[in-house]
Amino acid sequence: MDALKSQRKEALVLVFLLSALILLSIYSLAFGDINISLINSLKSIVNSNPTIDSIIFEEIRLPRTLLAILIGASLGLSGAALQGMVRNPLAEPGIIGVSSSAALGAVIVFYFGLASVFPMALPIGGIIGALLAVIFLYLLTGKNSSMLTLILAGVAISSLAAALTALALNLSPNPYASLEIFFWLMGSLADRSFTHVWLILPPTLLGWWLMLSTRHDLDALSLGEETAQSLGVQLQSLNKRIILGVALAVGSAVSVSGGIGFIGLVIPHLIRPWVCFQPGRLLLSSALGGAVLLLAADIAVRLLPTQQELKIGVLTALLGAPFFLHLILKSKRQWAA
Amino acid sequence: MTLRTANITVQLSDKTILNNISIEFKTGQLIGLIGPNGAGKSTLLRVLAGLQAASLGQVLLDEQPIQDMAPLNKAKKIAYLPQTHECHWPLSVERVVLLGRHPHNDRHHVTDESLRAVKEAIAEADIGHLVGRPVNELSGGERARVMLARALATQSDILLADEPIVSLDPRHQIDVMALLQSLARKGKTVIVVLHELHLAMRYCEQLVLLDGGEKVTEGSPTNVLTEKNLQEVYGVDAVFGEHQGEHWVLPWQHK
Repeated sequence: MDALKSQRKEALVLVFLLSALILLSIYSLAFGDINISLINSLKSIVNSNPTIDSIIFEEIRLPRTLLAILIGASLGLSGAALQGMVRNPLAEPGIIGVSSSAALGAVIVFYFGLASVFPMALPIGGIIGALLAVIFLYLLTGKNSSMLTLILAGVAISSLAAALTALALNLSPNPYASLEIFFWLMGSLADRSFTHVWLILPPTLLGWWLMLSTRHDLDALSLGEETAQSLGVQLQSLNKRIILGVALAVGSAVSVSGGIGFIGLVIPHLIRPWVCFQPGRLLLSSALGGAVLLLAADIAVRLLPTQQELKIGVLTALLGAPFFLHLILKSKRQWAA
Repeated sequence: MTLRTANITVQLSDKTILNNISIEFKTGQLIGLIGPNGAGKSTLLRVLAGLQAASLGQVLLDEQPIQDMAPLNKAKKIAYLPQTHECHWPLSVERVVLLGRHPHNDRHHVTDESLRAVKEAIAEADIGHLVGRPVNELSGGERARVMLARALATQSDILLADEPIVSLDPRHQIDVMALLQSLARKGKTVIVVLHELHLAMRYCEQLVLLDGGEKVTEGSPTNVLTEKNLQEVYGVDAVFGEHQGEHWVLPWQHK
């Protein structure tokens, strides 16, 4: 009983994830095709005396590492928040159609060749796509919709976005543009700059704040919508905060990295037992877990001795899809029992 | 704390579920809402909890319409126990009971007061031996008592329970009804939807008989559970008797 007051187990998870994140960040900053000295790089940056090391550090490694952390955290947090909202461990950011709509927004930018004229058009297109998905979602589901309507609307939006993406690939004026879209859709953190970091930082932080603000209410929602409402939870506000939060965080993430799947599914599932299955407590640790996993995956694609750098979205899908299958088989067994 | 409904009418897609219901619930009493299936009992309970909006009329708590109250404030005063005992994650028994403290806003920094309320609720619902176990592994009856403890932990003035004894064995049915009666005697207003007419007769102080969305009658159990009412509303003949100075009723056969 007194375990209710003790938060040692949860604190331990947070400390473990945070330490892993710090260690991986150091590794990610220092090692790659060329190994650099972090201390020397920092010194030369402070002394405004650029060296090759400091340029690699500042222009390549630091933005890439920061983006992995930001995007990984957004994906992990969004997965945990959505799973809490729909009370289903199989939910993930793709479910409300935000990921695919963000991808569509970016693809349209590719299609019209705007990305080469104005690089920032790409992330902006992604965020607009994600926000349009949310607006569509509200128009489709109305004010007092059930969770099922919400999910079906999400599936419909995803399908439409996927179809339009395929259409863009199909009608693409030149093979080069198709190839560019194709590669971008695979998801990657390579060749991104600080501009990308600054562009996605405000919507990402706002999205995180919206999602984290629901943590108490998500716990009460474990007992179903009616009980949660009777406990004082305002369901509509809860759903709005999560959907908008996911749109902002995942929309801006996808627009910079392309499609990176399964992090939002895998991470909350792995961490859940460590927070005593409380959906509210799961949020912060899933954000940290997502950052750790994406950073580790990004280091892996850089280290793997492939001829061309493996796309990070390909790696997460290769690892995530069997995991998804395992979850489905497990829940199927539970139903059978 | 007084609770009453003033001319409540609920219409859902042109069907009248409740028609012009006015009831005054006496403070410190165990009140049973009875009636056949589809009478509107659960809807009335949901209206009282503020979960279902009335098409017409109002629910007044201390003469204040409940829809004007802030959700958390209302939740502190009115606890609601639904018919289904859903819990979507394998939370431990004590964590589920702790969720009853949600309206008090101290869930993430569990206060001594909350801990006391949780322990008390666990003792009252007789689930001390279940502490530490995940709720999804419990039997239906055990789960029902965990959810009751959750509602008790709120320590509200008003407790609304929708068929709280439906999945319990006879001993626990009697225990829960006796517990609800003792809570009422301590000053809580307890309103329960019941199908077990023998327990309604024995434990409730006030009964409200509903049929087809209309209030048929209300009053003391012996005045409500009459041969005529049971025949007309439920369509059953019942056997009546007395034991240890108390009245009992047993629905016997289809009329």
